[in-house]
Amino acid sequence: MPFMSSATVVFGFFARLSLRNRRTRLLLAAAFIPFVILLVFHLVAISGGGSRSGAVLFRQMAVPFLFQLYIPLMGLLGGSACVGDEIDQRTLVFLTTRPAGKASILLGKSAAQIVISLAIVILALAGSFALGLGSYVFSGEGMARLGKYLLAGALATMAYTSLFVLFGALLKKPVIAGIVFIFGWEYIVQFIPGSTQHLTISHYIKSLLPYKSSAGGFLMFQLEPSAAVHAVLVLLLLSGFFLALATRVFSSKEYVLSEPRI
Amino acid sequence: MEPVLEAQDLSKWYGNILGVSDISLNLTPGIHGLLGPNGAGKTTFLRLASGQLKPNRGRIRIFGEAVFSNPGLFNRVGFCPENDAYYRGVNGGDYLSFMARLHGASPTEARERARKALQRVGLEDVAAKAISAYSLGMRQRLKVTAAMLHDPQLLILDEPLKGVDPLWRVRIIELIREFESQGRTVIVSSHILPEIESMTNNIVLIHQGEILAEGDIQEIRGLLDSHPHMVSIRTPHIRRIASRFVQDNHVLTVNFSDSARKVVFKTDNRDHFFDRLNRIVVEEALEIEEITSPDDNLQAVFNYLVGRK
Repeated sequence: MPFMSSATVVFGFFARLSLRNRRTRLLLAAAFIPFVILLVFHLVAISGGGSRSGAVLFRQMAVPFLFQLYIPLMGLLGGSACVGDEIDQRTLVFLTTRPAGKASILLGKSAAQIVISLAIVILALAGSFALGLGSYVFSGEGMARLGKYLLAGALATMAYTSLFVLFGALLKKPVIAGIVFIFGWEYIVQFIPGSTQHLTISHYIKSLLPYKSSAGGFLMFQLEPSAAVHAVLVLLLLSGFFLALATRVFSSKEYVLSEPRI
Repeated sequence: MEPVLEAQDLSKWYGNILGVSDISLNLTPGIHGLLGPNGAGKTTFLRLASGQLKPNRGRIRIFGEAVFSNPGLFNRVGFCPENDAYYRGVNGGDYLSFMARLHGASPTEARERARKALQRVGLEDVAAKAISAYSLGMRQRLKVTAAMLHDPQLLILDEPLKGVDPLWRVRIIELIREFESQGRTVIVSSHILPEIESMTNNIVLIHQGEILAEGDIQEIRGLLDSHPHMVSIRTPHIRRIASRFVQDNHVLTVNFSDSARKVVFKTDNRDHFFDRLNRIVVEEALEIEEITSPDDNLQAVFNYLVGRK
């Protein structure tokens, strides 16, 4: 079966499956935590109890939550599950004993995961932005800022999900390795002097955000941000590279679906 | 005849655990029963045959092609795994349609193929029901029909009757026989002897990762000259016959059954026993109603071969 045809069939099936998946529903609910907090803030403000600006809350609460925590974790859970679920549920055999190349299978599954994740991130970001910034969102400047957030969110989702698809294809315990990466490498490296921040994904994502957080903040910069075009290219190239490597590993690796009963 | 499946010095191990060892085998069209107890190496062999595992040593080829990382081969091969696995939240119809689409069927064709496949195993009424709500036997039937979905030339079935109710066992055995009658090949594994016997006489006995014997059950049986054979004779003259055999060195035991007309001998030389029996019957003009070999079945052969190993 041609590569693109089988990838499309796999994409369609797993996209529909993802929509019914409990993990997707949980991730969707978690994505709207900032939205709910902003909503509560608005209700409190309306009743005269609040003084903090919604824009500040969006920038200091919603953006760090989504970019530093939610998107990497969603990428980890969704990306590593592309292969991990097939092994844990022992369903991989149904796919690999059909005339579809393993590369097309993984690409189709990963694409389904990325599309579902993108939809969640875009909804959560746009919703929180609209609630935080109110009517400003309808101005030209507001739309441009929202566009930058959405671009950064989309590229972050692609890059992290692709990386963790690779982890899932490569490692037996991808979630542990992924948590070490997210909360270890991605976080610690920003404190290291020099240009090592260029070796993190988060550096390029932060370079795309339409504001720079203050030093010491969660999304701080020890290093000057990269140019936006450079950051976009790096994130796209990284996503492509991770996916290509993942499909190569998946195609050549042998997966033992259960403890050998021999 | 060109072999459909060729295995040569095939070995597979999982760390220190041996899966299969030095298996060499050529299978031609027909039904081949892979028989052995749990843990014998049947599943490992079938996983190698279906390209899920890479051999550590040796090679395995189907229709002359290597199996691992060869998806094109699965246009001609259908595989039913042993695992009771399924996609949660998917119904039988959608699952089969998806499988058909992986074979290049259009959405309409895929739905039609899925409908026929469900009908074949009596699941058409539960097509829209989640697979997780099916019984084990229903899921097993679904896997069997999924393996046949694309009309393959070779069907590999790992314990296909596990959990299937007796009525559907018969139907699945019929399906397998029908499939084979069209000149195709079936490799079916089981640890239950009557299941294999009901499908074929052509068996491969596997134990501890090695092939103990292969071929027609009768031929294998015939090779076992030193295997003690049971011979049951129904006659009104059981004591006269028994007395003639009691001092024979090749007769190990003589048992009188509950029936007053039946005696069972255990001999380590079946040819000698029957020569002598013929002579006695002729000399003494004895009436013989029936001669049977109660242990002339797979269980006896298997027990003997495993015990000898």
